[in-house]
Amino acid sequence: MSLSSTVAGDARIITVGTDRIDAAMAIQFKEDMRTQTADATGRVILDLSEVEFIDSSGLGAIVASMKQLGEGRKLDLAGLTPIVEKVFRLTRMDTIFDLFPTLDAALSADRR
Amino acid sequence: MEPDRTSDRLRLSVIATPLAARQAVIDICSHVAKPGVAPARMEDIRIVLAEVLNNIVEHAYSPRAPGRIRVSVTATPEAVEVELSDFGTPLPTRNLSARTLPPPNPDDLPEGGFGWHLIRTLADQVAYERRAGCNHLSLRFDLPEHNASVSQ
Repeated sequence: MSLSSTVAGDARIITVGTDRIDAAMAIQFKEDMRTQTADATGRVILDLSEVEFIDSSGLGAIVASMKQLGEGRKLDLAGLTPIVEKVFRLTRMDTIFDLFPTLDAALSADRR
Repeated sequence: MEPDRTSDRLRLSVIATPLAARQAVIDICSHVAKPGVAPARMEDIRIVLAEVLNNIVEHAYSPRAPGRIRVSVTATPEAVEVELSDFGTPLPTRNLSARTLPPPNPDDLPEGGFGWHLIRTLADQVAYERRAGCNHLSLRFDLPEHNASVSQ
């Protein structure tokens, strides 16, 4: 699993460096997200622009990643490709996460 | 495990592991992908195939004793039909009954249970039969774009 983390102001950006988040890697993704976000206290943005496929296990792992951030904290999602957007929309998880078409759009959105 | 191609039919025998299921989705989609199949429809087929294969890997067989999944894919200009069979535990038929997914509760978010919703939403027909100790799942994806391209 390839996740990389950068800081922009008070936001932590986590970039997924693989083209899929599927059942074969969902558990590893969740664990790696825990590591990447362990010391993050502000906003966390997950950059999914390189991910062209996700299945329901991958979706569950993203939900779990937000829950393990802690009470009431949100995970924002940026750069959704067509299949990823479709899976979030059909499962109505687009009502739970704030989705941004690009990382720039996520960063320029006022979150305070 | 050489794919058997007779006419437009693809037959696969897939060992029920997550990585083999992933490869099977890739193989089936490359068989189905043709200029007449709209990209959005290919997305639907890919999502559903991943879900049905993962369900068999995770629920029909034990991870310690992954069995075989037989897959047959028939692609015509009108539709893509996929038949899957396995010798695992029976599918709970409640999974097949259509129901709308309730809006997720932000205070108690589900981490699973999305798979069958995606399958039922994106496939045009889903049929299941338990026969002689074997699960048979049939899926059909209509290709309405075909009619549009013919009329042009």
